[in-house]
Amino acid sequence: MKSGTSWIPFAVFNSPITRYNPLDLANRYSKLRKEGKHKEVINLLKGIAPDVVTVELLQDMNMPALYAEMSNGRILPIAALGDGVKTLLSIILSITSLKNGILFIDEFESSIHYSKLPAVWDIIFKLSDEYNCQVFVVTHSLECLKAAAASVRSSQNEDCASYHRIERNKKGSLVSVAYNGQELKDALDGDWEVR
Amino acid sequence: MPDPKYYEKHKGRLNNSKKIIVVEGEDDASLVSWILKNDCNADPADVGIIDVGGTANFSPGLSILFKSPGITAGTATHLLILFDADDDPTLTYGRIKAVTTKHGLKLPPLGDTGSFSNDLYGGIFSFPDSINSGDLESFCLATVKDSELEKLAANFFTQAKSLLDKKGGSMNGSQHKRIAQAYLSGCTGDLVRGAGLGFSRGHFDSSDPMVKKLSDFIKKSLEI
Repeated sequence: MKSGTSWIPFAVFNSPITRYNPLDLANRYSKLRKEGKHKEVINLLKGIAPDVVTVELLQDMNMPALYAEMSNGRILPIAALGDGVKTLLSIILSITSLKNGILFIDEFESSIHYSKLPAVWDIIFKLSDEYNCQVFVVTHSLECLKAAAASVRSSQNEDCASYHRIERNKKGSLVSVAYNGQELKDALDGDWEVR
Repeated sequence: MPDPKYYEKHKGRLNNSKKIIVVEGEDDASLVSWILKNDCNADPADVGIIDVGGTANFSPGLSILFKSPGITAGTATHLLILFDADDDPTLTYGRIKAVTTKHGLKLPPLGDTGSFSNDLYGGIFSFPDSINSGDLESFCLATVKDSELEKLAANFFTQAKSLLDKKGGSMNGSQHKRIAQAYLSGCTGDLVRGAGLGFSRGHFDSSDPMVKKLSDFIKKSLEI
C-alpha cells in the first residue's frame, strides 16, 4: 500500500480474539512452507513444546487446518494444543508473514507459563530482527517485562527494545514515558516500579 | 529494618506517595524513618522513602525515579534527596544536578530547599551537615561525640590502624563506618549492622542538635 511518497508497512494485530483464527494460521503456514522456511518455525516451537515433532497442513471438513504430530505419534489439531503453544505459533507465523511489517501483540503472557516467557521473548527478538518486523507488545505484567529485560540482556543489544508506559499526565493528556533497554534493565534490577 | 510504614524494598509505593525521600541505602532509611515517625509525625500515607541501592546507583537511580509513575503522572508533590557527602559533597551534588538537568528539572542548592519544577518542591541534603565531608556514620557518631564509648571506639580504630600500618596493610572505605561498627559492638542488646539501624534502636543521641537540624530540614523540604 502506498500513501503519498511513503510506504505504509503491512501490520497485523495479534490479540487473544484474533490469534487463533485457523484460516490465518493456515495461510501463514502455507506461505512459509512454500518458502521452505517451515522447519525453522517448527524448531522454535519445539523450544516451548518439545513434544511437537512437526506441523502439517491438512484438510478438515473442507477447511485447511494446522495439525501437530506429537512425539507419541498422535496427530492433533493445533486448536487442541495448549494456549501457550497456540499463542507462540501464532506469534511466530505472524512475524514470519510480516517481512518489513509491523506486528501488534496484545497481552500474550496470559496464555504462556511464566517460566517460558524469556524463551518466547528470545524468539520474538530473533525473528523480528530476521524479518525486519517491528513488534509492539502490550502488557501489564511485571513478569513479562522482566522476561523481556532478561532477553534484552542475553542479546547484549540494549537498542533492540524500548519500553513505553502510557499514562495520563496532570493535565489529563495521554503521554508516553520511554525507557531504553538499559534503563528498563536498571529499573527492574533495582526493583523500581515502571508500570 | 527501616519502619515499614514509610519504607518498602519494592518501590511500587512511589505510585502513591506524595512526598518522596530518596536515600542511598536501607541503613539511611532506618534513620530517616525513625525521624519521620518520632520527630516529624509524618503521615505514612503521604511520605515514602526509597533507597537507590548504594552510592554508585545514585545517578542511575534518580534517572529512573524521574521516569517513575509517581513523578511523571504528577502524584508526587515533594522530593527530598539525602546522600553521603563522602570526601567532597559537591562531587555527588554535581552528578545529581546533571541528572535533574537531563530531565528538565531544577535542583535546589545543597542544604537548601526550593522547586525542582512547577509541580515538585523539596530539598537536598548531604550527611553529615551539607557542608563537611562525611557520611551517615559520621552524622550518627557526632551525636555521641566525646562519650566514653565513642572515645573507646575511636581509640580502637586509631590503634588498629597503627597496627596495620606497621604490618604494611591498608584500609579501604570510610573510617567513620569502621568506628561506628566498633561503637555499635559495645552497645547493649543485639549487635546491629548499621549506624542508621543503631540510631533507630536508640544507640545514638536523638536529642542532639544535629538531629534537630536534619528533622527541621526534612519538615521544611516536605512542608510537613
